[in-house]
Amino acid sequence: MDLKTAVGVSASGLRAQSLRMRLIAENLANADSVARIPGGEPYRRRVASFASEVDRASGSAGVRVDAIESDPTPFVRQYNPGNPAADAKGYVQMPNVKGLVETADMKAAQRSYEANLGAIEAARALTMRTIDLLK
Amino acid sequence: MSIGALDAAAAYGRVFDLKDRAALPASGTSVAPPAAGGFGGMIEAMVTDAATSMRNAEAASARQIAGKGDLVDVATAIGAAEAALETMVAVRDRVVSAYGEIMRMQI
Repeated sequence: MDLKTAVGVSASGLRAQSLRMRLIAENLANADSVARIPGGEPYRRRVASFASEVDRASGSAGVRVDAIESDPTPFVRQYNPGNPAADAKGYVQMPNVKGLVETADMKAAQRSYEANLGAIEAARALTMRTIDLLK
Repeated sequence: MSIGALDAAAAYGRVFDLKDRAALPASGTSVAPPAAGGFGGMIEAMVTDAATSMRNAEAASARQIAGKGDLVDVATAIGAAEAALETMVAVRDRVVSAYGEIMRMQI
């Protein structure tokens, strides 16, 4: 039945968005993670890219996480000679994580998750109302 | 969930098909054997299906409690089990009430 398939598709959306949320949490947590060796590369921001995935059994198009990619934006150089990760000139490479971007992304992930939850709720309510026809 | 809500309506319709078929050989010479399906068989199949989806939901919850599961899986499995059980209960109530109606008939 298609309502059941709809729940499955929305569930794949929930999984995809929760992974996106995990990556945002990792980015925020590592916003200040610098390299272990002087002059080395710090934490690089990671983003998930999604792709649609057709389920052969039901013919429905769910979503899956296609790849977790590293953000190629250049790192921020900060003058901080006291930092153990500073290079010979006293510059430390800071991660390319921007709090504002992550917060906006988090809001988008949250909205998308809520939209999928809403779709599941609607599909379930319709199923229950169809069963009520029998009563 | 191997039974959908609309399958229930179809199953309810099948009950009457089975009844018709059972009634047909009864008009013949020999005693008709009991129909292979029938109401009991249908309810049994539905209960089995509902029980299977309940067991799936239970397994998903157990995995979740053990820390290995996915919360989304638990929620969808329990939702499917609930729908299967509700369908079964609705069909049972409907068929039992039809039976009661027939038993109350004035002969």
